[in-house]
Amino acid sequence: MKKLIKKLLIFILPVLVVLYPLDLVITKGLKKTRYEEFAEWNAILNGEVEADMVIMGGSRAFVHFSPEILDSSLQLNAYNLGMDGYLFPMQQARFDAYLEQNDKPRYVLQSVSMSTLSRRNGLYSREQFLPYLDNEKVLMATKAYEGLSWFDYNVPLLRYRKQWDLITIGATESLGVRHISGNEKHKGYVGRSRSWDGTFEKFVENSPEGIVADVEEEVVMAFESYLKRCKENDIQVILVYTPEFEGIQRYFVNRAEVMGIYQRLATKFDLEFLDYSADPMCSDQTFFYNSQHMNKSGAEKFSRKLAGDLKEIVAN
Amino acid sequence: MLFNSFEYAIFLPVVFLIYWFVVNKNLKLQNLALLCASYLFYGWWDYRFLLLIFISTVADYVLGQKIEGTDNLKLKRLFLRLSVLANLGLLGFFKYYNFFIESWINAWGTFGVDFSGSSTLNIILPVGISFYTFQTMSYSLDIYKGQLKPTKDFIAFGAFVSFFPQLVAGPIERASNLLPQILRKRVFNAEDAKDGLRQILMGLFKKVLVADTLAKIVESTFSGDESLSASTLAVGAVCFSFQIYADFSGYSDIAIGTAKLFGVRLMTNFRFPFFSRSISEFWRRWHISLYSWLNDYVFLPLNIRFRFWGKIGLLLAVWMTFGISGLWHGAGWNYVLFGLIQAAYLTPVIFFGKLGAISSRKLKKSDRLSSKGTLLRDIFKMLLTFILINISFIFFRAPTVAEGWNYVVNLFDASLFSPPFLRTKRPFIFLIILILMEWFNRDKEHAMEWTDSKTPRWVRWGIYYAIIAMMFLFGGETQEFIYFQF
Repeated sequence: MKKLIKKLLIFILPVLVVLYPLDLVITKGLKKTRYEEFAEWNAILNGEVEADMVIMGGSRAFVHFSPEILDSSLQLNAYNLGMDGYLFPMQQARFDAYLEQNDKPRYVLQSVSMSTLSRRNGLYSREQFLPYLDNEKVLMATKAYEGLSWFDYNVPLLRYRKQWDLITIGATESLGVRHISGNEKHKGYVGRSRSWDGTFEKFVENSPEGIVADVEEEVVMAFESYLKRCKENDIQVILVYTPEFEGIQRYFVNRAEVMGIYQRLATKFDLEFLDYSADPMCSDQTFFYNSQHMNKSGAEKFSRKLAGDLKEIVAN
Repeated sequence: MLFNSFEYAIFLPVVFLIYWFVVNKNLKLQNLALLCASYLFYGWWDYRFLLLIFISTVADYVLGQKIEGTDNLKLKRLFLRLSVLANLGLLGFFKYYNFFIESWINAWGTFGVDFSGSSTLNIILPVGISFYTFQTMSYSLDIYKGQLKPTKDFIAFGAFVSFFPQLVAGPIERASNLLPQILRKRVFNAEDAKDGLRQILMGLFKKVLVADTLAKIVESTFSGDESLSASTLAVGAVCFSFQIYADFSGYSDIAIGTAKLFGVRLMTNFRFPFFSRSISEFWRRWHISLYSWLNDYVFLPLNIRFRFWGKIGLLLAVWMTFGISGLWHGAGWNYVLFGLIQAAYLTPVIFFGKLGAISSRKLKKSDRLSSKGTLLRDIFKMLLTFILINISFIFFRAPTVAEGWNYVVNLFDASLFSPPFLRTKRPFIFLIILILMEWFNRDKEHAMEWTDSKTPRWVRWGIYYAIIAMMFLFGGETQEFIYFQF
């Protein structure tokens, strides 16, 4: 039996020996790449953003706010930190990581929605975090979600299992091959040229009575302390409720309650709350690809309108 | 705990070391270690259901001794019935309660009688309940038939019932095979252990690279998307047959391989079933532990009971046994239909051929695959058998009979001859590797048995490293083993 165990150890040894160097090469490559989600993370964690105005939020932030339009109109440097699929807890983690490596912004445009004040259980698009698990902020943020195990955090290379694309991108970047985003992301913003996808109609069919937007007390408290911290650090937060298709609005049965929380917090911290949920754009379906997200033409029209509204605030 | 998880990768060597290095001098302690490890393994899912295994263990331990302890045939029968009732009672409540209530309401509903007041319960199905209840029942049945003496060693019996390699998804062991191995001192055999490790690797290859990668194709084709062409549906159906095979036989390989590490030999559960040249041969190669169990404890008693009715009696026994086999798989009419389709396939054999058993733990001489002369004819028969089995598997995978039927109907369309739409082709590479490995080793116990000491070490190790690397790079999203739900 001892002979067998010895043989097994000899068999496993080369595997263990290559784990760490391979992990190092792949991680190093991914930390340089400009490919998809890594482009934003690398810019943030390498302190390359240094924006005057950052846009915070989930997917509604990331597809609605065009930094280029805000830049040209407001004569400042804006950057979109919106995270697809994430609600406030992860948004805050990204903001903290940003502050650690970049100068504090003068303004934060905080996109809010019906789902901002809750949390999700599992990591969405978990691969975007894999190269940064050595970063304290990313580490703490991801640990709050399901999706990565103890082994992913502690055993080299294991977190890249079944990620052939990431492995090749990381390895080739390390060798000097550049990978640029396949999508048209610019300064964190993606304008999606999509037409109405019909998911709203399916939603209505499945939930004719509507749904209750989750509001978690713990998240509301975290949101409140984030607003307080920004105020203490002279970061001006502007809450923005971007347009949403008007047909959906009556299906959030506690809509008034959620909007009331935003109103209350705006009053408490003396913040501007720009609410576009009654904007005429909301009734025009051609500006949306689903009930929550505007397409490129809608987003850019909205960004111009927002820039106009912000001029006065920024001037003051 | 999943076999294809990191937790298991730590659990297995730890248990192995304790088993062979810490408690190896004392059989009772070794069995106790095995029992504790098995309860930990099962409790990892949901510790509450350990109570069910314990109840099943105590019931059969006590009733087994009662059956043996009396000469009164009526009492013997009573104790046996109690054992069957206890096991089927657990199974019936946790697995079939809602199914029968819903079927009751629906059946009366068709006659306009409203029974919708009868309520279903929110019952969680305990993992592997169909497997261990059948295993413990075999103990009482074998004692009743005089084929086994009951044990007085409760720890050993508990280890037999809950033996972790095969607890959750089989093979469903017979007490007459596994219990004596638990009761006697095990001796470490390095060759068996090495073969066990190879079999575990083969099982992981099947699960991680074949079953889990095919899963995505299967999910999309069985999603009810009506825009899919008939050719895409046909590929999806074929993929499901291979998915379920790779998933389930992969589990069996890991279970059997793991047992070998502990000096225990489990029964073979799959013998390359897709190389069968007839339906009856298929059932001697597929899920052998279940179908031989059903053969011995359901089909043969029924056949004896109906023997005066000649071929009609045999027909009845076959249809009832396969109907039960379908229901064993799941509480749904689609599973029953899956079983009945097999019975329908075997019906001509009853009238025009010779059907002695529905399954067997041993292959017939004629089941051995010839490589001379008849190969082309054999391959043709294999394809035909595969198509028939494949059609029945559609009902196994579809959520309802109606959806299964729609799937089959949609296959018969002119678009059957158009190129199928496939998002990825990578799973087919692994599938072809699997088929080739199995084909060239079809006379072996498992497809990686060929890498024995006659093959140079660098070739063997090269293959093992290649498989591990492929699993690391290309493995599909981790899925539970399909048979856990049964």
